Amino acid sequence: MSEFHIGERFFAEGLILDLKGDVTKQAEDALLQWRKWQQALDGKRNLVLNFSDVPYINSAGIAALIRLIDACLKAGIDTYAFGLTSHYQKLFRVVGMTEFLMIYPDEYSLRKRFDDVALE
Amino acid sequence: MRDIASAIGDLNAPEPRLDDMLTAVAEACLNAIEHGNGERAELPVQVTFLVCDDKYALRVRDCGAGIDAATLRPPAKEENVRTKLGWDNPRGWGMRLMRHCADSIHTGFETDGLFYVELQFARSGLGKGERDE
Repeated sequence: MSEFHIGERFFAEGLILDLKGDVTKQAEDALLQWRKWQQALDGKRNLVLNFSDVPYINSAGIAALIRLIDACLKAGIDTYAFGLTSHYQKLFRVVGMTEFLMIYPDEYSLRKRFDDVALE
Repeated sequence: MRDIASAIGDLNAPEPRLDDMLTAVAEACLNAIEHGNGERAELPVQVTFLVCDDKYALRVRDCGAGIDAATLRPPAKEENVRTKLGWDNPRGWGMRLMRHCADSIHTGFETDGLFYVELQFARSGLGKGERDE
């Protein structure tokens, strides 16, 4: 399995976490740095997970993602994702994660969504 | 997992359900390591890949006592993320993923006493995983 790490990119409406590597139990500590990201968001309400460089997700990784989503929900932060393969989009639907994590096909469509909302 | 993916990839025809197969066998291996072998590194988990005319079968063996066949059947009410929000450790998705990805799951004991979980995937036409789409 490839080593997991997270890059951070800020944008006008929130924070993008660029996930790199397998999302498994080994990714748990990195995914649960919630307090650091909440401070970094500084009042913004959107956290985006970029899965473009994630080749593999297993059930332990799904559990870690659920804990992250749970923390976001409690803080009033909306969570989004892009870059998921069709296979993992399907698995996220199966376990019900898509009720809480809004999935977009790519970063461009997600950014366009934020731009459109800002214009309203 | 790379060896399994490579073995499947060596087949003449590309397998459109490779991702389903890899997810299901990975979850079966995780269960074998954690629950079957009690995370004891010295105990083996064996994976066999069988290619039949009408199906693939991936058999995962461990040294454990086995599982109740009832756990293979979907519960009356499937758990989902909503039911596990707030849990300190919202795990337990492995069997759910295996049931979704594989067309059928069988269990038993080998003659040498090893417990096995066998995941089957149809080769021709659409398997369950595709029909659910």
